[in-house]
Amino acid sequence: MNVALLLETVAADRPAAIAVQDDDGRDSYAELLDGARGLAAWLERAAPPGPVAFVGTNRREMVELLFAAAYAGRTFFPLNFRIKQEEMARQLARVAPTLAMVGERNRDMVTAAARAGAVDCRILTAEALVAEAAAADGDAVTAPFDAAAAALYLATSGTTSDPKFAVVTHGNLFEYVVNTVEAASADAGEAVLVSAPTYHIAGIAQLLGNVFRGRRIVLMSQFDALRWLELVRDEEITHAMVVPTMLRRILDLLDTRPDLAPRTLVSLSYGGAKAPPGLVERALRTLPGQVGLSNAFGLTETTSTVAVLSPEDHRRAIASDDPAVRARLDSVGHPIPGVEVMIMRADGSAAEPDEQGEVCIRGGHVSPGYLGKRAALDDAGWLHTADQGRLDADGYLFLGRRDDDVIIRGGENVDPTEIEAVVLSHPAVSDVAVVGVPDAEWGEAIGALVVGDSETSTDDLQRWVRERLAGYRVPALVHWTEELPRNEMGKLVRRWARQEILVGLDHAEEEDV
Amino acid sequence: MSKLGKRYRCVSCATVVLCLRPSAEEFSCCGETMREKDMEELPSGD
Repeated sequence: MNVALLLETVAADRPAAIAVQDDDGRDSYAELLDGARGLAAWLERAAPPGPVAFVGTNRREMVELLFAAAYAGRTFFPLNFRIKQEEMARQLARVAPTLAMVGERNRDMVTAAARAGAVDCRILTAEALVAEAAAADGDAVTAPFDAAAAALYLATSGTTSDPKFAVVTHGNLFEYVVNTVEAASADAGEAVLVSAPTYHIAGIAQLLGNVFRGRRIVLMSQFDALRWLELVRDEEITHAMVVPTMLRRILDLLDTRPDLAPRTLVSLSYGGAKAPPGLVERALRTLPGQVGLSNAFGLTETTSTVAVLSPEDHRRAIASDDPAVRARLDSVGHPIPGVEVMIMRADGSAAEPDEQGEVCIRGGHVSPGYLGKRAALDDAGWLHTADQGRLDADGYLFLGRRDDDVIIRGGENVDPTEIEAVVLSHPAVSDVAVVGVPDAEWGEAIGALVVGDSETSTDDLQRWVRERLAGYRVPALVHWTEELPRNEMGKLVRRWARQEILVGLDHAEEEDV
Repeated sequence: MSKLGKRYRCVSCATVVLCLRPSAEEFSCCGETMREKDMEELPSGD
């Protein structure tokens, strides 16, 4: 298997159809295929064997490079262009790409990072790289057929620790796509807006799935709510995927600009992070009725989506008076074909319906492991996600806290999500993150980073929690903020929240002095 | 011919296979050529 075959299949079916477009132009499926094969032929002589990196915002040349790398048997390594130079140097040194395509504005920083990391990597802007490769003849290029070969190295989002690099194989990507997409099944008018970055598995999976479907792919270089709604209108977008933060910004804008309501959109999926309370109900109320909402849950290590809450599930839940059916808006739906989900007890046995345990995932989508580290799977092939969850009697998957998030205060295990639910129920609070912070007496103390009406006193908030939970669960440290620290996929980064509480504590002590 | 990503169904025993490598050959099962299955709506997150 090789993901380049996904493109070949669709290019044979509809060569003249538009495959991908950005602000600067568009390529048909035949042009994308020719470009990728030419670039693959050029890669052979342009850089020694090794991974091929990309640093920049979404653009057509990046899609070409993704498929060129597959043809050339190179691993594609997209990096987050927002990370600091020091972190980029560490990532480049770890993966050791021999060639990097970069955006113009990223070139100096990537060059400095490669030097700092002592990485022998040829760095070219997208324009320079494509110009240099233009004369290459890719007619003789064929894709190697090796399912176990690494197609991607992706830094995991690292919300609780330093990033690891998940190895995503051609087999993983291939199984994900063919299990969820019918080849060349898109109608002529379908168009998808891709706003997720490709250094995230959601962006890559969305690209590959839509190539295989044969849709017109409209690339958005960077998300902006107004631009997103304008693109949906101007490009007659029918399908899109957003993270919850993006969805909230779109809904906020629609409150004041109802004229931008997405009239052509029929499918909007959201994922990448847990949607905050109330957001999905608000989306169902605000968006035009033809928009079907899907919640997609997945991990980098599972090659994107493993469970989906369908549009029909959303409609049924919002219309239901049954609390159990209504609660499914908080679930991530059913596992998709080719994926097994088991809720595992601590002793390794399978939990009963509605019993909490660790969410474990098995199937052809699941990455075999991390670059240079141990395999990610247990002996039976299960990926242990460290997410707590449950399956209800109808097979809907509900997620709870991560094992890594548990606070240990004086030997007591404290689940932060229980405290967060109580703090959120306070009328003055709109968002909250509860984390453990180092404490000399208790090992960890409970800290709360709170978004809301800061006129509310910390004493009042602590009293609210004390009236509803045991005293040891009351946050000892409360810090008010404008917005919770989330990564670009909208996922709460707890170590940043912890840092913000600690910095706030330092400032408070300085003021006391 | 068998096409990449297409599903083929045996008319006798209802077995379905998914083509992961295209070929000029055709799939057969129960002594008969398998038929290309109609497209179906698959649960996708994208």
